Amino acid sequence: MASSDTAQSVADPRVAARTGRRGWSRHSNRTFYLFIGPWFVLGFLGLTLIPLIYALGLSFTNFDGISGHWHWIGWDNYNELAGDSDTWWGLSRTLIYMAVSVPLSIATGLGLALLLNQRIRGIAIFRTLFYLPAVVPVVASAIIWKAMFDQNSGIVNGLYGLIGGAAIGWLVDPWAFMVLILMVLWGAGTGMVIFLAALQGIPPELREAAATDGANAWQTFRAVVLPLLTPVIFFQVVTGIIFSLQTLAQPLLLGPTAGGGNGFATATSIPRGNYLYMINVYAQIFNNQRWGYGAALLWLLIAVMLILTVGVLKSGRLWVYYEVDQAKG
Amino acid sequence: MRWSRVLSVAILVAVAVVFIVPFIWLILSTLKTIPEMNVYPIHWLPNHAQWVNFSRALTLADFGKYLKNTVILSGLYCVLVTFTSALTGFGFARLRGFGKSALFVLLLSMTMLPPILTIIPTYVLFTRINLIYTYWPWVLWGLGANPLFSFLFRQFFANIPVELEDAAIIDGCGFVRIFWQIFLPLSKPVLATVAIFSFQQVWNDFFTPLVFLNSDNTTLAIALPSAYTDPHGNTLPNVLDAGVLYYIVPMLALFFVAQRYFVQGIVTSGLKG
Repeated sequence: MASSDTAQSVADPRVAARTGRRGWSRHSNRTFYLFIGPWFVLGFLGLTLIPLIYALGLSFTNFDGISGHWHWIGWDNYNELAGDSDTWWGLSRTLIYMAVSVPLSIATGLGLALLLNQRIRGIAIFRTLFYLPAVVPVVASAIIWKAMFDQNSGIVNGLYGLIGGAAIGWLVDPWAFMVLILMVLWGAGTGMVIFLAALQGIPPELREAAATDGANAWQTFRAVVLPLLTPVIFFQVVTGIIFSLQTLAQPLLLGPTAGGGNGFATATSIPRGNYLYMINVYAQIFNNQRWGYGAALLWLLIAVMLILTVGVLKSGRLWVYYEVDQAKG
Repeated sequence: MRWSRVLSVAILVAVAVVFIVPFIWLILSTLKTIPEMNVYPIHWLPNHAQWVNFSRALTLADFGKYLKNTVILSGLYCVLVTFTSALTGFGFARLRGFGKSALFVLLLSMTMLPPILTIIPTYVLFTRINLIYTYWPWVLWGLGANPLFSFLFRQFFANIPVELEDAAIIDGCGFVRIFWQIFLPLSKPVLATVAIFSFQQVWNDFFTPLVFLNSDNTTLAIALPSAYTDPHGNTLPNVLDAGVLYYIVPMLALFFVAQRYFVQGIVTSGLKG
């Protein structure tokens, strides 16, 4: 059998090419799907796509998570959320949070990386110290932050008192938002590591050439280093936008501890400045059992994320510098 | 030139102080008594260091139980997801298949999807099939691989010389054996990176255990904040601070010993754009 196949193949190179290729590709197709199967079937279809579509379906119902008495209510949830001031308040706070936290995180990460990208003895110690907060779990960061900004026992009011200031309630409006931003910036080490790697990937000849041309440090940074970093900045802007829009844990954990229950803040006790969109989603689903309404809120957020992401991706052409030919990539 | 170097070091030290102060304050708070925490004006240092708070953090709540839960859950997810993500990464790096490039774009776009968007509807689904309050969701997430970890494996496997594989194929070795006996043993750095990140992911996670687990089988992240009260129901912030120290020290230690794997993982995922 095998020998006759071989004979035929030798006789007709076209057949050889076809059967040979088909044989290889069929075997390999199967193996490929075998290897990526767990991800594609379970991870993607089962645990990503189906839940998202399920949520889309739920958003057209009044399902409450418990009772079987639910039915299709069309666009009612969407009409209701459009007229709900909590939706728009949460969305506007989230957009403000995004507009403040994303640029500041990137600037902090880049600033730290520039500080570290120098030949100074012991620089590795500083690198470790700056990254350290990024491995601290969010629950712990929030407890630490509440201890530091506590009105009575916090170090911040202690230092403020040294210069004669009266104790400030940092964890309530209008200061709570700033405290939230500072907590996020404390963990800017991840961006720093990425920027540091990017800076170290810039050929020294480029800086030397700029220096030979008489450029000072700022001019070199502005004209040589920064354009080369734009792809990295671009990537951080995109991920920063997406992940800032879904922020929930930080404002929830920084909120005042509610009596009883699991010891976490409830939506109503969170300062209005930190009342981000996901807080409302969380409250509707887990406190009010309004699954259908919560699912509609979730899908509005997904739509906002898609629009902003596409917008930023399109804007990339205007300001991102690619060394390789754009048409190819 | 000298002057600018002095300035650089001064800025570095100042920034380092800002980054370290929260840790210092946590330790100082642990060592104070509660009346001492609340006096005004502020008491910077404890009069008598309350080392006893470190043992109270272990005895006033069932710290051991929640630690055990956290280790089991993190370990379970870590082992499963590392293996399945390696499989996925190998498929994308080394095998051919119909629709592979489209699937790879899909994998990459999934790295940008915030987990909470799928976790909330998954919670509803799992409530209906009675999978909540168990560790099964983590088993399923582990078996379903993680797009970012798969990408890290793919990048690593793609750089292994093709000659190794060719030689194995000529020797009649199938792809499963090539993966298991050639690629995995060569992949210790990326295995370490993914194992650390996945363990850390569950250890640090707040939202998922909050909604999927109950007060008995939950993790430290959920149990700790409300764990410490006196018999009158008042919270004990100094004991809580000691508990928080116990909770973060393993992650800090892991980072100190495995720093290069952290950096490698972050850089590979952060510079892909």
